[in-house]
Amino acid sequence: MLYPVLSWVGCMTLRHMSIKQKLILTTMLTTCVALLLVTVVFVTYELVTIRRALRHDLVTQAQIIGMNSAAALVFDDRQGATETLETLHARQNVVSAALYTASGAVFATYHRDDISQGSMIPIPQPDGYRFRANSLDLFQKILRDGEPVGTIYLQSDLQAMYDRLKRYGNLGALALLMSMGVGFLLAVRLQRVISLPILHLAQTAKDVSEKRDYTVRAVKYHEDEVGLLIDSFNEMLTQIQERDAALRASNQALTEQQDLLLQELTEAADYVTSLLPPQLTGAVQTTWKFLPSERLGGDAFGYHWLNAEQFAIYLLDVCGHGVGAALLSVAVMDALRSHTLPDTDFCNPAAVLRALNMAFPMEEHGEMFFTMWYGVYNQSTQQIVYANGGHPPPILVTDASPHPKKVIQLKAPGVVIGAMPDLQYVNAYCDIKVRSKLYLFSDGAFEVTRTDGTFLTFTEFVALLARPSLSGMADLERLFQDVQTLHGSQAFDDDLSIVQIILDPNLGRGLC
Amino acid sequence: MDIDVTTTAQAVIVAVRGRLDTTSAPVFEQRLADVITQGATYIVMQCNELAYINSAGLRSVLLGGKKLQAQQGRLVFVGLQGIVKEIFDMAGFSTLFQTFASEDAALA
Amino acid sequence: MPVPADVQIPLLLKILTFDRNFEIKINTALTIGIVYDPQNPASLQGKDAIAQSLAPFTTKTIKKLPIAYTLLEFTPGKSLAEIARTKHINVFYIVPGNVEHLPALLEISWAQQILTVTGVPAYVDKGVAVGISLNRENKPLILINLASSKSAGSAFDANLLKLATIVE
Repeated sequence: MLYPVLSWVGCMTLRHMSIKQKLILTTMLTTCVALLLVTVVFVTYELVTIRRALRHDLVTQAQIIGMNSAAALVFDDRQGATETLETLHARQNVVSAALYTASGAVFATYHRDDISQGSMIPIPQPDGYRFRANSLDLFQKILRDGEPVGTIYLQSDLQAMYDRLKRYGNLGALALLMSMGVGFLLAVRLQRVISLPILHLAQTAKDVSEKRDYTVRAVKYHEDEVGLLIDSFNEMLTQIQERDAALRASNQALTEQQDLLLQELTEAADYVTSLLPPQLTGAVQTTWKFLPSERLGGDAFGYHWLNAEQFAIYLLDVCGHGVGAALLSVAVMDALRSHTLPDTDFCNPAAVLRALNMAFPMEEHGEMFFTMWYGVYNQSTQQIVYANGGHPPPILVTDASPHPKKVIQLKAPGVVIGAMPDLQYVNAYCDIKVRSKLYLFSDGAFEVTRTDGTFLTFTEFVALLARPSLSGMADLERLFQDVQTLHGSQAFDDDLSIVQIILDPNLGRGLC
Repeated sequence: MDIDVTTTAQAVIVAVRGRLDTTSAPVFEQRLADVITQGATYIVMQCNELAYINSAGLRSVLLGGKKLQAQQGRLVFVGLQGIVKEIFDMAGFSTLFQTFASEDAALA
Repeated sequence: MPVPADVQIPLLLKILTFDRNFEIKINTALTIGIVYDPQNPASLQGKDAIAQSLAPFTTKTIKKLPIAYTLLEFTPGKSLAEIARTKHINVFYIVPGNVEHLPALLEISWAQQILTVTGVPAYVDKGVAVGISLNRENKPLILINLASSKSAGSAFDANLLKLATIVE
């Protein structure tokens, strides 16, 4: 049960020790164990030797006493025998002694001074010795001419042995302590050979990691495995350094390239924006909001006076967004402004759309079609004629109080332009009797997701327009902000264009 | 967006679920092209679970329809509703493709 | 003889084993010559007693040598010396009643290296080498005339001498 606790403690402690401590610990442990083993071996050897010596000594003693006591035993001279035993006084280790007759009766006894003189003497045993905890007992027959005349018993204490052992123990402990001390000092000194290179490497690694300075290199101290480690480490750093430099260069190039692209896009966007019409005042007042989802979009719109009386208005939306869509929108806008469609009456919206459909088949323009509403306002007739090619219908809102507000969708059937060859479009008409506000927009204006994820419907969008009018151009701003609020953010997924045109039949004619 | 293609004796029914917008349009376009290449002549677009379609979606539909027409085939629509129908109608696609109220009507 | 013959004899035999020159002097058999005066009744009595006690020992050995005894009548004129030599006597047991014969016996003893033993304590003072007496506790006491024993060619073990009474 103890073992797992110890090993856990050991592991925990070992884990937090430094290399220096570990090295010293291993050395000390080895030294200690080795010393202990040596001590044990020597002490054991000594123990065996001492015992043997003790035994020999006692045996010899018994023989001498025995020989000297033979006469006394033979002639029944107890006194003589006792006197002979008394010579054992000289041998301080002999505790007790006894002589037995051949028949086994006690003949004479001896006890050391510190032992009570009446102490028990054991009964005679066969020849032999026995080591007890505190004594060595010896029985030996006394022979005369090969015949046993009696037995001698000697008991020696083991004091000499224990004294010797204690001395050895003390000496051993002292030697151990001294050796450990010297060993420790040596270990501290010598462990540096191993730990120094490792610590240096660790420090270098730490420096590199903290400062991210890959020019640093670790110093190699020796040609051993640590040296190999350091070489590999330095090699790795070189590689990192090279890759880092390469990466920087690559990033640099990319950034430069990106900057270039961005610059070009910005230039293109500026050009597209420059194509958009100026905001007019006068007989026809215009204002607009243009927000491509990326820098360039597929939305475009325009208006211009065709002649003294007719004012063309158009808004187109190329499917998709980005550079591709923008390029097509520019091409279409150019055709409309420069009137470069062959045999086309630009006052006839249906004809214009038909001509555009012929001129821009989607197969020849990157599989892109576009929606478009084209209308012509005639100041004299106070009428708008218009045609639609798949585009959300503009909303006309009358704005002449006290007349009730009317909201009219300028719808006309028609397929998206470029979809199929020979598509036909129809002209529709709308009279402008009172001052009205015409709103043109791309689907990006109303096809927005609300904060709850549902889509704003066209109807809801129209409802926004039907609110009481604000003066001037504030309506557009309000509309735009409402849409933004509903969407919940300022960024839109699709290109957003809204144009507001105020048409007032009561205003005088005039070119703007 | 998920596309399920079911082939019956009379037609290949392509059911589209989710949004058919700029991200999903290319996938749909490719799938439709595969169906057409495999020789379908009458494709029924099941739009019951189509939640939204934008100009990119319309474009892929149109491209598929034109490709099918070149093979003497037809592309029709079933289950257009809500904003999808609005967009579909506004783009004038109702004049280009036939629409039905139900699949049975389309397969009849 | 204060100590009975049957006690003396075993004791004497034991004493003999403590003679370090035993093997030198005695090499075939231990032959004890019991010297008596035929005219002296005490002597005769003593002789009989000793002989009787010695008899059982003739079947035993001492230091692996057989034990034998012979009766030696002391008559002046008779060459006891010659007989002793012939019979290879190693030990003279001198029974009581031989006091006048002691000097002659001793002469032979010293000449032929024959040890003299007795049961009469007084004889030891007169020159007999080994004698058995009785001590104060009425226990047998060994008397040894050291000079005489040495002259007879014996060298008794120090341990024996220790417990014996030395007579000058």
